[in-house]
Amino acid sequence: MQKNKSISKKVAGADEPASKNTWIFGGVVCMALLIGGGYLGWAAMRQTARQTPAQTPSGISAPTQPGSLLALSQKEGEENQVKIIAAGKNAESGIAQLGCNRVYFAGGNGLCLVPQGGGQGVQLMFARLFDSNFEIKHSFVSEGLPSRARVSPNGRYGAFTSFVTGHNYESVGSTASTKTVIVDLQNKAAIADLEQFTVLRDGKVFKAVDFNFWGVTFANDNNTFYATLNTAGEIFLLKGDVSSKTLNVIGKDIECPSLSPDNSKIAYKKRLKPGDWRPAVLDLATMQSTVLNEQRNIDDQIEWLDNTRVIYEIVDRSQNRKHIVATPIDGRGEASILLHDAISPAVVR
Amino acid sequence: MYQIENSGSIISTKNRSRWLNISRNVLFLGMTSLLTDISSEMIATTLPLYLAFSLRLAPLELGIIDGIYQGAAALVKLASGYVADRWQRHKEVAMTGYGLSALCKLGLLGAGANWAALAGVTLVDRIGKGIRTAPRDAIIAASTPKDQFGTAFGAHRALDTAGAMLGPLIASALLAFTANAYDAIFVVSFCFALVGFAVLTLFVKNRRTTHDMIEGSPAKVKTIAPGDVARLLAEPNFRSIALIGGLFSLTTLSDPLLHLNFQRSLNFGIELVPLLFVVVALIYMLLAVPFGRLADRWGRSRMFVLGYGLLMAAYALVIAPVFGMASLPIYALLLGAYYAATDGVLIAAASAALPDHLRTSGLALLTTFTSLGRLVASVTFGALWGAQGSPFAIGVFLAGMAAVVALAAWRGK
Repeated sequence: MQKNKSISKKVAGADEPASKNTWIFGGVVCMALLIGGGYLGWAAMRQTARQTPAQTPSGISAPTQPGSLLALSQKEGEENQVKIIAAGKNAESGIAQLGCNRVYFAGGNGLCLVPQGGGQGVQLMFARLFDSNFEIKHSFVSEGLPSRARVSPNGRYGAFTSFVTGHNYESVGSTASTKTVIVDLQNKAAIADLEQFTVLRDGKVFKAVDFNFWGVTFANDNNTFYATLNTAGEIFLLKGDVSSKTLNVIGKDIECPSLSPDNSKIAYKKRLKPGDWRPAVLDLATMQSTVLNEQRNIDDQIEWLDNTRVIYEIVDRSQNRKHIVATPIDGRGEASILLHDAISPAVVR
Repeated sequence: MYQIENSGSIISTKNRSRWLNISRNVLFLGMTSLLTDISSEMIATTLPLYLAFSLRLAPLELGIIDGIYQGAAALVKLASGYVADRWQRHKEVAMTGYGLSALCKLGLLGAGANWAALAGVTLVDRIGKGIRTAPRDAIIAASTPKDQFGTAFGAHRALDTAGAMLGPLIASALLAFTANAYDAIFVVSFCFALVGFAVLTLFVKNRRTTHDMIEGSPAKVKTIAPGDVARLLAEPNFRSIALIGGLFSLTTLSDPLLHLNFQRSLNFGIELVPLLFVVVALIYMLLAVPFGRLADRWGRSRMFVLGYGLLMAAYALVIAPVFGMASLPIYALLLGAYYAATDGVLIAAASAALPDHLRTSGLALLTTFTSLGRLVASVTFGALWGAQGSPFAIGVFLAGMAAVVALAAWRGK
C-alpha cells in the first residue's frame, strides 16, 4: 500500500496547471483559425479574381474551318480553359466554358480529360465527351491522372491514356504505369482497355505483366490506329485494329506516335536518354526517321498543323510557362512559337 | 496479478474521462491522431494533382516521389522506439514526429516547383510518421490498465480513422471553394497539424512505466541496451504475436489493390471505389471500440484470428461475388469489421506481452515486421497475378491466410 501511494502521488505530480494549458490551447486554436481562415479567404478571392475575365459569349461553337485550332489556355486566370484559334491566325478567337487537363477534337466530337479526386490511393479521372457546341454528352470514368487524348477523324472512336501510380501490381509504387482505353463515342460505351487487346510480335502472341500502353493515334479509315507499348524497358510501335481488338508490333523506339493528315508519316518522341526526348518523323513507306531541328526536350503527343509542319508543347522551366511551337518536318527548319501560354493542340481538318 | 490490477485502479482514479472509462491521455492522443490524419490525408489526396498539374512534373518524377513515400517510414521506426525507451521520453519523441510532419506541410509551400526540395519534404514527412507511431502507442498502453488495452487502442483507432475519413472530404471541398488553390490546402493542412501538435504537447502526460513500477522501486528505471530489443524475440508471448502478425501480413493485400480487384470481379462503377473507402472506414470506426472491449474480455489473440477469418470471407467474395450487388455492402462490412478486430487489437496484444521498459522498441519491431510483410505480399501478388490471373492470386493468398489461422489456432492451444 505504501508503494501504491507514492506512485499515485507521482502520477498526480505530473499534472500541470490545467487551466494555463487550456488557455494556451485556446490561443493556438484561435491562431490556427485565423491563419487557416484568413489564408483560405484570401486564396478564394485571389482565384476568383484571376478567373473572371472569360469574356465568353455563351453559345460558342467549335470551329469547322480546316486549319483552325483548339487548345488549352495556360494564361493566368484562364488556366485549362478550351480556347479556339481561327485558321491562319495565332491569336485566340474565343474561349469555351470548358476546363480540361487535356483536350482533343475531331469529326464533331471532343474528349476533355479532367482529374477527379479519389483519395486513399485511388485517383479517378473523367473523360468527358463534348459536341461542337461544347456541351457535355457523356462522361467516361477511369483511373489515374489524365495524360493523352485522341479522337478518330470522323469522331467515331476516342482513346485516352492516364497515369496510374501507387497501387500498381508490378511496381509497388516505384514507377508509374499507364492505362489506355478505347471508347465508342457514337454509342457512348467503352470498347476495351488496350491491355485486353491481343498483341502479336512476329505473328506470335506477345504477353507480359508489365505491359504499358499509351499515345493512341487514329488513321483516316477510322479503324486502324497506332500506339506505344512499353515492356521490360523497351519501347515498341504498335499498329492496332479496333474491330478485331488486335495489336501488331511494327517498330522499336518510336514513342507516342501521331499520324500525319495524309497518313504517310508518323511524328513521335525520340528518346535521347530517360526524360529527354526530341521530335522526330518516321516515313511509313521507307521506315526512315528524321530528327527535327529542335534543341529542347519535348514531352507531348505531337499534332500535325498540316502535312509539312508539326506542333507540340514546350515547357519554359525558367518561367514555368508552356507554349505551343511549330516545326517543319524536313529536319532543317527551326521551331517557332505558334501560340503563347497554351497546350494540348487539336487541329481541325 | 493482483498488483497489476491494482495499478490499473490507481490510474483509473485520476485522469480518466467518464466517457467509456478511457484515460484522458488516450482521448487526447486520439484527438491528436484525428487532427494529424485530417492534415495528412488532405495532402495525400491533393499532392498527385498538385505535382502533375500545378507544377507540371513529369510522371517519372511523380513515381520517384511515390516510392520515397513508401520506403522512408520503416528506417527510423526502430531507432525512435529505442530512444523513447532508453530515456523514457515517449511524449518528447512523439512530439518530434508530429512536429516534423506539421512543419512539412509548410515545407510544401516553400518547396514550390523545386523537385529535389519536394522530394526532401516528402521524405521528412514520412520520417515524422515513422518516429511518432510506436511511442504514441506506448503512451496509450502506459495510460491504461492491462485488462483494457483492447478498448483503449480501439478508441484511439476510431478517432484516427475518423480523421482519415474527413481529410479527403475537407480537401475536395476546399479545392472547390478556392478554385484549386493548392497553397491554401497546404496552409489549412498545417493548421490542423498544428492544433493536433498542441493537443499532444499541452494535454498528454508522459507516464513512467506504471505497470512495472509496482514490482520494484519507482526510482529504479531499467536502462536498456540494443541487445535487449533483440532478446525480445526470445520472449515466448511476444515472439508468438510477432510471428502470427508477421505471417498474416504476408497474406494481406493493400486496400486499393483489393478494392480494384473487387471492382473488376463484381463489375461495379469505378467511381464507387472512393465511396467504398469511406464506408469501410466508417464501419471500422463504429466497431473499433466494441471489438476492442470484446477482445479484452474474450482474448485478444482470438479476436485477431477471428478478424482474419472475416478478411478471408472478404477475399472469397472478391473471387466469387455470389450475392450480386448485395456483395458490395457485405464486403464493406467484412472489411470494416476485419480492421476493427485486428488493427488496434494486434498492438493491444503485443503491448500486453511486452515489458514496460521495452514496449516502444517492441512495438516498433512488430510494425517493421508487418510492413515488410505487406511489401513482400504486394510483390508476390504482382507476380502471381501476372502469371495466373487475379482469382488465382487471391486464391493463393486466401489459402495462405487459412494456413496461418490454423497455425494460430494450434499454437493457441
